[in-house]
Amino acid sequence: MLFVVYMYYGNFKRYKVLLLIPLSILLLSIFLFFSLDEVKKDIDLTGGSSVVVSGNVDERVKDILSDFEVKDVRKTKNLWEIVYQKDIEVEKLIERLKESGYEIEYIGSKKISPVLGEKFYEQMIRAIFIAFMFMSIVVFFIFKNPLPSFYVLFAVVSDIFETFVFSQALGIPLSLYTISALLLLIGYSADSDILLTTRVLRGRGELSERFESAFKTGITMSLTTLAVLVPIILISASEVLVRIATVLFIGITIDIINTWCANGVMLRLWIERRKNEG
Amino acid sequence: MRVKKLLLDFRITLWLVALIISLLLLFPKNYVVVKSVSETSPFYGKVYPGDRITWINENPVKDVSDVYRFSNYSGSIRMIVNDNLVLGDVKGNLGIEVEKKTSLKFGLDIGGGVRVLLASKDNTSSEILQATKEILENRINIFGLKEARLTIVDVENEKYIQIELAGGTLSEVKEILEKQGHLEGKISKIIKLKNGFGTLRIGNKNFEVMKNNSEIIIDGKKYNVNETFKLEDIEFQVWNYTENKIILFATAFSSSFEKKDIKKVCMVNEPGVCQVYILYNPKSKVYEFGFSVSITLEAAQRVKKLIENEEIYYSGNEAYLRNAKLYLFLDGKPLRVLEISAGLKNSIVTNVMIQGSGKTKSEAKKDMNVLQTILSSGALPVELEMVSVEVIPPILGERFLNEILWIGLIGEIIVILIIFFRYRIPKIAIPMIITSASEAIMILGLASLINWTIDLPSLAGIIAILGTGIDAQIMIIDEVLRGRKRVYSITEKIKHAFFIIFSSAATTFVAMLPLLSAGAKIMQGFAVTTIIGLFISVFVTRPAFGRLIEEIIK
Repeated sequence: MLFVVYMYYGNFKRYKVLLLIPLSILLLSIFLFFSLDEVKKDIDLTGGSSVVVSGNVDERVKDILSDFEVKDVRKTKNLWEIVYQKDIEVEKLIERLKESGYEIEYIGSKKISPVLGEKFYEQMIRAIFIAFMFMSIVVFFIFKNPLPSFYVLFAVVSDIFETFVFSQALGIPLSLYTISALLLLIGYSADSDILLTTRVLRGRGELSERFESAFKTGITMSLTTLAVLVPIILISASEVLVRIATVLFIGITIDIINTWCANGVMLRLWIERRKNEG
Repeated sequence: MRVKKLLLDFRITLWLVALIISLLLLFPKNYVVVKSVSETSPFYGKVYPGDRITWINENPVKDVSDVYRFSNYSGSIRMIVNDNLVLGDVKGNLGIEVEKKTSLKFGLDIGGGVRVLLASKDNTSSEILQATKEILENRINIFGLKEARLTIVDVENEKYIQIELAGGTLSEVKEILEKQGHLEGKISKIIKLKNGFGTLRIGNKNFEVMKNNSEIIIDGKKYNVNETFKLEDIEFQVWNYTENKIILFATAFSSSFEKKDIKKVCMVNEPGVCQVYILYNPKSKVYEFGFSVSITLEAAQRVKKLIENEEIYYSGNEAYLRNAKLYLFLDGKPLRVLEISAGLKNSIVTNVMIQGSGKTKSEAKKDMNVLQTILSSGALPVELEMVSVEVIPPILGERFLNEILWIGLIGEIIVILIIFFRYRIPKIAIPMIITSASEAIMILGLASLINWTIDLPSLAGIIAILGTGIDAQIMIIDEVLRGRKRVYSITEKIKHAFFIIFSSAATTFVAMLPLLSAGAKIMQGFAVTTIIGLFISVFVTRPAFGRLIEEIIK
């Protein structure tokens, strides 16, 4: 696919067709967004308790622990995490599981009050908006040109929104960690757009040549970053790192499309229209 | 000549100097840190985990062996612990375990431990919260828990106390932190009634008591059950009544945040000074413990006033007061009822034994330690509530560090392969690896300089920065190699690359700013290492890398 995009950049006159790719992804994510029942949040944003145990646990624990209001039973590598809502002590849950014949070992636990979780959520959502605002100011300051700056912002917003929707669809809940990854993504996705815009607006030589060189550099950058994320997702036993890396992986993949097929095409249209107007 | 010129380049010099300083900062320190102190050690209760030992018996301590030399020593030991001289007589067992540390501090999610967020149940000023924090700090120290970090964090304008403990179990932590520690010693007074009339004697004064159906009148005032009143500067509470007697509770001593009747808590048995014991009681089949606390003279006089007119009875050889008993309450909950020895009637005694029991010896000991700790640190000014508790296992930590190394190694190999396929110039791999590695070392060096605790989010931040670092390297290489037409000089091309590098660093920097304070600072490490890393890489490592590439490609 990258090759097709590349061909369009260099040789074809009909580069506008490329806009269809980001547009269809945007539509798909809007559709997915409205079909989500609710925003999936981790307990650090909703409040609740979770226990991590080693050994073998299965879905049956939901019935055994019915009075704990089990929300989720999930496995990361060889550890199980049981998420529950009721404010009951961890020791009681472990005892119950052992009585029911599970051979498990207590590894760790977490409890957050709903009030605090709610506050964290509000704060993190606000953090995203503040980060985005700051980033917009920097971008306008760098280019001092409203339309190209706007294209950059459009690409970044699409990145963040689509990454959020797709990670929700994949079952990755919002948490302090995944929101931090989204914040980092604001910076990251602006990077590739800045590279593109700078190279194209400030570079010399043929227009298509400038696009091509920006594309080569940008893709190498994104690919190396993706390559570093893969071993983290595959090897790491730390749920925190796996989640951050997964969100970044989704985000950077989407960013490749939004930078080169949306921002790039809009920028080129803008330059050509300006040229025609003389 | 070329090498000399390269070394004299400002960018390279700065990079080398920063690298050397970082390496020096990361070298293990010239002292050892206490890991644990055994209960049999003469230094138990004097030296605590986390303390720094720099000197023993006129010899500087630079390594663990300098301490372990004295493991089986007998005689007096002089130690400098946290810059203070500590003395002890050792009889063949020093009982102190030490370890050597680099100045890097690792967070709980790497080393394991408990993280707690406490909120006050009522609205409190930040001064009171600060005082609460200090008392908790003191409690944790007295209890001897490993390295604790207490911070006041702000979430949406509400303040919380965050406590991070390396080690310690959840139940221990709960008991020490959640108990407010308000101890009250109340003496029961039974007033016998004849035809509805009786007398309350306090010291040498008599007060008239009357009961008419359910109405209780003391010294001319009406009271209901549970109501309190003051007589002779002593607080009384109407506890209960029957047809022919009224039971009152008189507060003999109390240790709250405002009122401190307890002067000292005995931590270790010192014959002639204070007492601590744990004994098996074969009759009740439990382990009983006791430790003495000394109360103020004022409180002791109050006790005497309350009991000097009480009747005596004999149990074996001991004489006790028949009606007056000492009821101990902790945070409003009954703790224990104690007999009062008849001997107290005639003398002012400032020592009170606090007693309790446990099913096993270790249980009794733990309960005793918790009580001692709470009483000697004093009561908290507010009631606290745990709003968030996290128990983070250490096993994950050990495995995790290995993991990070593997991830780094595999990641680096993949990156180098991509770079090789893209540019086919093997020798640029060398400055790339050196630059990335030096970036990581400098971030860690600066982290140790500002005393930053490296936790999981911090490590994630370092990984993220190394990722953007590689991106910047690619940008520099690309810019230098771009276009065979050589319209610009290499230096100009690098300048061009740096415009983009600065701009994108600026966007990442501002995107990370809100994370510095959001979410009870749990993700602060992520933001801090990312920002530190950005500054280091933009101002130190990337310029040096640009210079190296210039040299290689020339």
